[in-house]
Amino acid sequence: MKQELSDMLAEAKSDPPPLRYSVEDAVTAGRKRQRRLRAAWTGAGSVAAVVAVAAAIAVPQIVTDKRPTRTTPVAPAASQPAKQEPAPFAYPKDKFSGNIVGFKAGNLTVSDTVHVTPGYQVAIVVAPGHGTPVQDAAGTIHQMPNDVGQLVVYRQGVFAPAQAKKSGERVSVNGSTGYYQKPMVTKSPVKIPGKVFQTEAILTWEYDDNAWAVVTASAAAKVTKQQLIALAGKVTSGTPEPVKIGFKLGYVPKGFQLTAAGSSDSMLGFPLDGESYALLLKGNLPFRALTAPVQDPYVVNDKQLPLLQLAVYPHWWGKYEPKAGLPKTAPFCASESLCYRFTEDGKYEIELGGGGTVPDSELIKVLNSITFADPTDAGSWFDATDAVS
Amino acid sequence: MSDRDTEFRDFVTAQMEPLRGLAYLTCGDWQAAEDAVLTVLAKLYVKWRRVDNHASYARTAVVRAAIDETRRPWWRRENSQSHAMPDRPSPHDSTSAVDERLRIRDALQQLPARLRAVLTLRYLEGLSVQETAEALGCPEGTVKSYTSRGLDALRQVLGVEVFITKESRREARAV
Repeated sequence: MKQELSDMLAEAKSDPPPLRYSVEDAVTAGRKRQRRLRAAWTGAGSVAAVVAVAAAIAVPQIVTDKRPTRTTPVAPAASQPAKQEPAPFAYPKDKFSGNIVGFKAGNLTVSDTVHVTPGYQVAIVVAPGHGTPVQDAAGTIHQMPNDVGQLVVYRQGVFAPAQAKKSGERVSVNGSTGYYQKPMVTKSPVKIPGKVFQTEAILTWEYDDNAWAVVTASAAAKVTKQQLIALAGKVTSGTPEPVKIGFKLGYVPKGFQLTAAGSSDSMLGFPLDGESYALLLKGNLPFRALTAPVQDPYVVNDKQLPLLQLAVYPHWWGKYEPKAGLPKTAPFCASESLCYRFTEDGKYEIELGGGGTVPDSELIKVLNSITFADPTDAGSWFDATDAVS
Repeated sequence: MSDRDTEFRDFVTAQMEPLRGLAYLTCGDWQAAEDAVLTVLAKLYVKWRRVDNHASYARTAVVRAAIDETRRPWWRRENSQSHAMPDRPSPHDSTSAVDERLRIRDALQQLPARLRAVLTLRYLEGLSVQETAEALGCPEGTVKSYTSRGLDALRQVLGVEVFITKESRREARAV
């Protein structure tokens, strides 16, 4: 008697029991993992971190390179006199201007505005020490700031506080009403005995009538309620500055409009040196009734809006090399709807994702039209609204 | 819904069952196989844009995760009396399809997990020696050795001559 092995293997796995997990369970598990990693890794702003961190984790003993590779958070001099009664935060009227002024609160440091949308602006909260280092393809270790959370200041009428009121402990922030939610212990999205995840600590407060701000800190950072309240009490607004980015588009596909921009992408990690970002959507994304910053997917009426996501970052953060045989600056698509172009010196690259809704030929056309500013000189950057119109 | 979510859903819809089958053949337990697959899919969701070949990544990671499942302490405790591959059927069992399936499962269950993984990757998934070695993170020589040992073991357990397809045979010459 003879039996064919592949038939035997196919037979052995036939007649399986019904699946316990659905496609949606897989999506949910992925999203939860992503959120957990964001909290644990403190801001995987670029997709490269997902890959690079795993390598870095394997070599913690050799992480002795002290070269800072990310910008130092902006904070006022320690001698700056503190105001006794900070004025209410004055949100900019312009859709793409930011005005969070960086500051220190105890051992936490808050950056200037790094990300702006028509509905909110974001700054990054950094704790002492280093975040998880990243090893690039050449084996160089890059130290990362220990960003532990975000400060999100919402435009008046944009934020929906009901959930914060329901689940948070009522507190006072400079006399304004706030709600504190301690990190929650949650079950693992997958069945791993003994494994639990912790959410972030969240402080939500009403800085002006129907105008709310939220500061978060990862559970791992062990930031206390008092620390968060003290931090919130120091949030002040400065002169609105148009958000700037390190590139300019000569061609924008019809119907796309600027929806977010800054030196940090929508994952809201601490900006890399030279990093800048712009999100263009084909359609209007309503910024109302938000409970958190908007992230992919950008859905309106159950329909994903076509998108163009552009991000400039240092080449060490990236994954791909320029295509062999082509000019170094020639755009190329590494995979469907994910295309790149390098700067002349090859030290930086721009990534353009079309989300599968824009043909690669259009993405190449956009990349061919790009003018780079000097990524290392923010003074040469373009106003985002001008750069993508 | 994002492009990633759409692509990911399409991928999961198409691949969840095959991946579960792959994991099951490796670890011999449907529940553990599903857990391994969900764990891998959650990781893949995060890495979606950075992975060139999603199917290859998932296949490799699922096999490794399934092997890991068999290393858990509770596995050795519960495996023999759980929902794992069934007990060896009686020699008097009929040759019906169900009995045949149980007989093959039982034969596979008697092989170590890594050896099962080698046979599955090579002769069900169609991977080459080199690809199997990369997937399992072991030398090519180990893959060849495991292949040979696995085939021998199956022949002995099943009491039949186990042969492979023409396509597989080309690769098997390297064994």
